[in-house]
Amino acid sequence: MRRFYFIFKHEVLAFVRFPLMIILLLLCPIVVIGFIPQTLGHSIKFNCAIVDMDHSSASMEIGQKILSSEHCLPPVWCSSVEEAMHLMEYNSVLMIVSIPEGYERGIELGNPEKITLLADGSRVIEADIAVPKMMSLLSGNDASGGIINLHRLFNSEEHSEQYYLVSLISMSLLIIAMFLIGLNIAGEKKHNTLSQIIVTGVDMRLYLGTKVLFYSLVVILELFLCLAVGYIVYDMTIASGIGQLVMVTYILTFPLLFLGVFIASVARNDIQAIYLMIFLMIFLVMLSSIIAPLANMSGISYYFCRMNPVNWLTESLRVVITYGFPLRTIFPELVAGILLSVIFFFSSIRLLKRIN
Amino acid sequence: MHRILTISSLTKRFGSLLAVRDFSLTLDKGDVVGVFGANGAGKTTLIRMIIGLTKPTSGEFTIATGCRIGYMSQSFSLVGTLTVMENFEFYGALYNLPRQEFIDQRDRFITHFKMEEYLNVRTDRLPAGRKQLLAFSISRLHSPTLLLLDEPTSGLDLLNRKRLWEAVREAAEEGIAIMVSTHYLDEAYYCDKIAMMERGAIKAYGDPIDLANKAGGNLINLFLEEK
Amino acid sequence: MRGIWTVARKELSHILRDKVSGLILFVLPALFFISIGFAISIDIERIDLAIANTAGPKANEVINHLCNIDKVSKVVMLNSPSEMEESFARDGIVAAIVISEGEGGYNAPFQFDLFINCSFATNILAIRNPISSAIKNSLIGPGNNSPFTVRYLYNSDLNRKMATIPGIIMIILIVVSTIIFSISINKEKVHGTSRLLSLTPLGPLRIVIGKLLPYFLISLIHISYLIFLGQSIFGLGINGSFLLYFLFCSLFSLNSMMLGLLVGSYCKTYEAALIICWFFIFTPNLFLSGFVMPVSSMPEAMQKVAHLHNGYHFIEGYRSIAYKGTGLAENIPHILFLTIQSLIVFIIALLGFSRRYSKS
Repeated sequence: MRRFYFIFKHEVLAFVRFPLMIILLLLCPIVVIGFIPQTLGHSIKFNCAIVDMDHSSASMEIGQKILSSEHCLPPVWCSSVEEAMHLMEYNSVLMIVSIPEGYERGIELGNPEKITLLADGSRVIEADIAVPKMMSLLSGNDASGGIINLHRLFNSEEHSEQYYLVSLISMSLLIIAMFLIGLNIAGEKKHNTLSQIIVTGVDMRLYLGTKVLFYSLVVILELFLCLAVGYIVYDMTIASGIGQLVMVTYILTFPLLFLGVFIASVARNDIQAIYLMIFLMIFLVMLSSIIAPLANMSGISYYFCRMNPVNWLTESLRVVITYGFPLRTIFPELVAGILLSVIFFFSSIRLLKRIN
Repeated sequence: MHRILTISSLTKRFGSLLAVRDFSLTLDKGDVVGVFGANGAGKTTLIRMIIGLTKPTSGEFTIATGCRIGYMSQSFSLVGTLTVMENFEFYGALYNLPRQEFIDQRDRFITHFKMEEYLNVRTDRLPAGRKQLLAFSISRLHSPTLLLLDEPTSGLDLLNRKRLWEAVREAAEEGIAIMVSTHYLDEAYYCDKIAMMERGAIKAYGDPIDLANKAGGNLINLFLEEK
Repeated sequence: MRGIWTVARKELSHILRDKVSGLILFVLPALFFISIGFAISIDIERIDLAIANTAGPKANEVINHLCNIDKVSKVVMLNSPSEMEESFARDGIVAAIVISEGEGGYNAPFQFDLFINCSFATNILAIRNPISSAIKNSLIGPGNNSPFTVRYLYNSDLNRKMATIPGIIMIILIVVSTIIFSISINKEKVHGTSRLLSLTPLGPLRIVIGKLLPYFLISLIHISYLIFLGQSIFGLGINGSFLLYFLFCSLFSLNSMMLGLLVGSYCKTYEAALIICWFFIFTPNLFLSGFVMPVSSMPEAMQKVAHLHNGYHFIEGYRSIAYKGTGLAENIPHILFLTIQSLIVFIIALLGFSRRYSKS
């Protein structure tokens, strides 16, 4: 117990006396939670060009519709498609609405000429969002037919930033968990403190376990900071209880902490540890549901994602924060998290003992 | 219990590099053995094998039953962000010393090495001489019977080197068996025996004065002589 | 020149002799590019669907059509609509459809309620459209003849990798050119070798250029093989001038290195350099460049902030040159921004670097 206390105390003192750690702890929620979600809007306002070859009241009506739409910026009127294409090459317009000659006459005859919509496919994400909006604006109904009542769950008002918040919290916890402990152990190896500690005969399980325990508390503190920023800036609330949230975060952060320890153990020096952590973190973030949902992944990426502890953390946080479902729905993730923690724990101990 | 350490044909190979070659040596209670050699001779590797940080490729070494090992590394291995007092407490706890024994040992070293004014100073802000004495104190905190010091005087001035060697001799007088690695030949005369290493193997072993006499009156001739 | 070359050679040998670091620098970006390129897609590749049928056996035909949708990989049959919510979490479904009795008689025998998990605010139509088509195909009834044709220019096959590949290249170049380079600059100070270098007649400018050259070379190698990988694995060629494309990517790489130099010159430790690069360069570029979300979908104030980031200009310029095949004229704003930013940052960084070297 006494050893545990002093190891824990050593970690606390080392932490608070290294101002960079405090800065990292504070910076994470402010930048990642406070600032980044501001960018994740989904209500696109697109710009388009209108090429009116008909010059009729029907074509003017189309222009009026586009002008008065909340989704469109004031359109640019062009005399030809070539002129409009030139604008598209300069990224000035996302779409070109080309109204052919004889459009109004066609409507009167009951056989309207087809309007052509040219979209900038190189801006795929925007085009995907904007084109259906334009089509529905011009046709006046749902382009796929009024056969289905559509319900948008968990995002009825299209506030995307609210729903990426959970992803960003997960990313913040990953950064804190891996970086802090990884740099700490890499530093101990570099200054040879670890050799001295091994010589004292202290059980490495106790030493490493206490260290990880301390940093797990730091991660929980970080969680609360992120929640606080989320609440203040975006009115973010938790669907389930705080207790459940803390428990889930606690269990699923351990694999990430032990991963940081594992990397620091494997690396021969602190520079290698930093390089490994950077790349691994990017892999883990990208191959999880932080940036894109699982449904977007194909083949081996999908299976990797299912085995990614960062994905477990993200999905579990979603269950607790967004959905409010019972914990039994994430039981497999919790068990997998515990198993992975144990594997990384014992592997790290073996590696640290063999620090030649 | 007189014989503390017996090393027998210890060898360590790193790939194609033979860092330690067929090294044999004994160490008795109260002995101070100096291991001398140029950089890359294998001194640090030898010590790391004895304390268990590296596994030997072949050979063996035996440490007396119940022996406690103390270690001081080249880089002192102190926790930089902790103060002198906190370092004592931290390592005292890791050694699992009973409270009173720890207090007695700690106070003894603080007084002996005059560390009173540095107790609340972070070790990363201490001058090198002070760090060295602190690291030495910590290596002795748990009253070891075998002390392994890896280039403890590296980078220090003459006065601090002298201070440390006086501390080493005092420890030897208390019955601690000490192995010190160094490349300062003038320190040989602090030792009861010296082992001169070259390319991982022992080039010469024995009393420093005898060896100096055999080498024409100066140990440096022995050091510079190519095997 | 000799001094510059000496410093450059020392840096290169350090990179190449540390085998693990070399492996990380050369191999990992390629692995990253391939794996993430496959993984990140705005296209929906799989729809895990739950179906709750309260309309009875007459809906079986519809259910069969739903199960046979190409992208539907898993179908969970629910006993009742009340099980739907839990199924979202337990079974990982993205959409649930409730089929109930319609009130329109022959023409409208069913009521379909489609519930889509919008917690990602993802491409809803990619989920809705195939389901709607499947239902329409299974029923006898009027369809909806849209009077419009839609063509996607520069991407007629709607290859969605176009959206992600520039972002991945941007990430790789930022990691190597900014983060790793800033640590390399900082390392000299931390290890004390800066003291030795400051005694040489080289001067800070030549030292910086010497250090920069190997990393610039590495980034050029990355750019080259990423083009090759993009072409061979994802089928994305360069429609515009290859030379302009290569020079543009090199300019971005150089720009990123200037930012790395700035951070490395002013930070005292690796950890500080790493944290600043991560939070102030990498993360903002990830989200503000248009890679994750289009810049035009951001609030106006954020759009202006996005325009100040080199990642935004890189992605815009990349798409313009590589996909639209535009020339120099159309990309002047992006090229100018990257160039001017590089110069300003270089001057500030060099001042910091000189000051640190003379003080060390």
